[in-house]
Amino acid sequence: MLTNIGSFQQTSSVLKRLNWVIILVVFSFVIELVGLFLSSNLLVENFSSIHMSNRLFDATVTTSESLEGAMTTLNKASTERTHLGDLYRVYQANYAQAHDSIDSALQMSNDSAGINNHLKKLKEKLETFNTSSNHIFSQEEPTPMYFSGNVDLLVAQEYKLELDELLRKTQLLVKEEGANAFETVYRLRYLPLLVTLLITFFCVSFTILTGGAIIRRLRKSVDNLMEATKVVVGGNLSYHAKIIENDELGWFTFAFNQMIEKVAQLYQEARYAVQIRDDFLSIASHELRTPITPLKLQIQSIIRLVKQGRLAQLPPEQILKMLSITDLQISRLTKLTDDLLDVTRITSGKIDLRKERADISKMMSEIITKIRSELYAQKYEITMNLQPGLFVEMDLSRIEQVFTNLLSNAMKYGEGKPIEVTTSRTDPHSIEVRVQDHGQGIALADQERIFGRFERAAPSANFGGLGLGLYIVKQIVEQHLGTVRVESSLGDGSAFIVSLPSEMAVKQ
Amino acid sequence: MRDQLKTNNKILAGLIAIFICFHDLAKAEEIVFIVNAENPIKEMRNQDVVDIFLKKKREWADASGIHFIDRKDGSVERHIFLTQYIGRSDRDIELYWIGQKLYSGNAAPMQVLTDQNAEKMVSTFKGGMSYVLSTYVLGKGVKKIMIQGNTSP
Repeated sequence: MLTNIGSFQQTSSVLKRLNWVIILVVFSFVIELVGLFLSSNLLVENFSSIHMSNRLFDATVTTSESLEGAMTTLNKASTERTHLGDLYRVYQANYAQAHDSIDSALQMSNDSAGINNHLKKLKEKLETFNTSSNHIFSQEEPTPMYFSGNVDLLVAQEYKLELDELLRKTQLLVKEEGANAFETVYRLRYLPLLVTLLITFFCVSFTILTGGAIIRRLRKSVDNLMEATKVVVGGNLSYHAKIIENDELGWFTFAFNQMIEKVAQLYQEARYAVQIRDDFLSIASHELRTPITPLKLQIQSIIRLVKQGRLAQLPPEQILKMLSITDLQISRLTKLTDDLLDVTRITSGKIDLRKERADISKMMSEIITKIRSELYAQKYEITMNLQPGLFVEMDLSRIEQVFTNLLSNAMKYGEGKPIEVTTSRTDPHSIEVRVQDHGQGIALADQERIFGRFERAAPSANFGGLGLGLYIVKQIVEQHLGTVRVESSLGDGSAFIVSLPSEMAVKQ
Repeated sequence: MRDQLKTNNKILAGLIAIFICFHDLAKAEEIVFIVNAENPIKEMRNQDVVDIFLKKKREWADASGIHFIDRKDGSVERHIFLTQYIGRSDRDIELYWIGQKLYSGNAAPMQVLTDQNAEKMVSTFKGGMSYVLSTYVLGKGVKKIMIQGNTSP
């Protein structure tokens, strides 16, 4: 995943944040438009109020003029009492015009309760005036005069006066509303501009702050990674970069930490491998040198005897001893070389097993027979508890190498105490061979480690060897699909248990 | 002689007429306030008269509208009314109504020329109120009311 850059979608972190900034800018623009619309609409409403006031005022003026016309007609009708029909039609026309004007004004003034109430009263008074006026037209004779006035006409005039008063009050209210609307328009003339500027300022500030915060967070993550890189480059492989956000950068930080952990682990392993290599070179050179020195001494001694012509004078036992020592050292060298070759084969996977059916108890008996002289030489007492008929599919030479190694170790670390070899069938599918010594034992902490290459539980200064024996044992046993383990405690000796699949299991 | 006597009688009659006339003029120095006969009010304060005339008070106690009928400018009745009850001059009142028309929309009350017209108007409007000379004989459609708190002679 780390190497597949092409499939990596770098959008949810950087681009997603940039998307947010773009969304904020668009949102700001929309807010600004809404603010501009609302503030402009407020002005438009007030302009509409002014227009409506003018129309209302016109309606009241029309009403007033119509009433004047009606009153003039009434005066004529009341005083002259001629052409009453014509006068009545003129009066009705004026009355109808006044009535329509008030109705029209009523429709226009729905939003203004004060004006509307005045107009309703006006309409009621107009009806009263009309009733009074109709009374004048309905009289056949002139109404009685009281010195200087016609009372019916006076009554009509009184109603007319009230109508004038109401009209005037209505006009004052209409003018006041118009003036208020105009004052509002004048007062708010810069409102759209102000709203636009304020919203723009707010939105731009908000966008800058938000965008800045997003960039700061992004930069914080990047800086965090850069700082971690510097620390790691400085040699601190235990450093863990803090994962700030759950995004690609966070994932990248996590991967970086994982990578550093892996690098640290590889570094430790490499250091350990180098240490082991150095130790091995030291041990190998010592081990290889150990048999060479006596070998060289023996050979030089033989050469010197040959040159002096004294070889023939030596008793055969002496010569045999010298050659035996030489053979022993050569065997040791051969063993060391074989071990190294085996390790190389195992590591490169070139070890070939030639399996055949064999009784493992019989094979153990033969191995012990072969090394019996050495056991006696080192005064080891060996006890065998071998169960016959335990057949295993195995490479005889390799399995023999396994148990020779184990018995060799038992003699090396057994401190001369008895060695026990046991074979048994633990279950129908596996056969177990146990090599038990009663030497110094192996510490629990070392019991896993000793099966590694160049590993040894005891210091190399006290015991020879390359530390490859148990490694080879383990590899060969595992090649046979078996296991090897150790049961040991310090001071009580060690038991190496090799478990191999039985012939029955192999067939299955 | 007989002619002389007739002449003297005429002079005496004229003097009597002049006396009677002046006597009536002297009596016309007083006005009375009238309201519609159906109006339950019997008396009111002088300040109420002022408020009604100036249209600061526009309704009776029963919330019906007040129709105050004024008298023509320059009439004796109006002169008495303004000086004794309102306490302002013709000019002041004229300016007051100009201001009212401009700023509140209130118009000056309707003015009639004669006591008869005033009486007829008051009798026509249930909420009517006006003033007439105290010597004027009132009809059934109106009634006098007493004004309290007026200290004028």
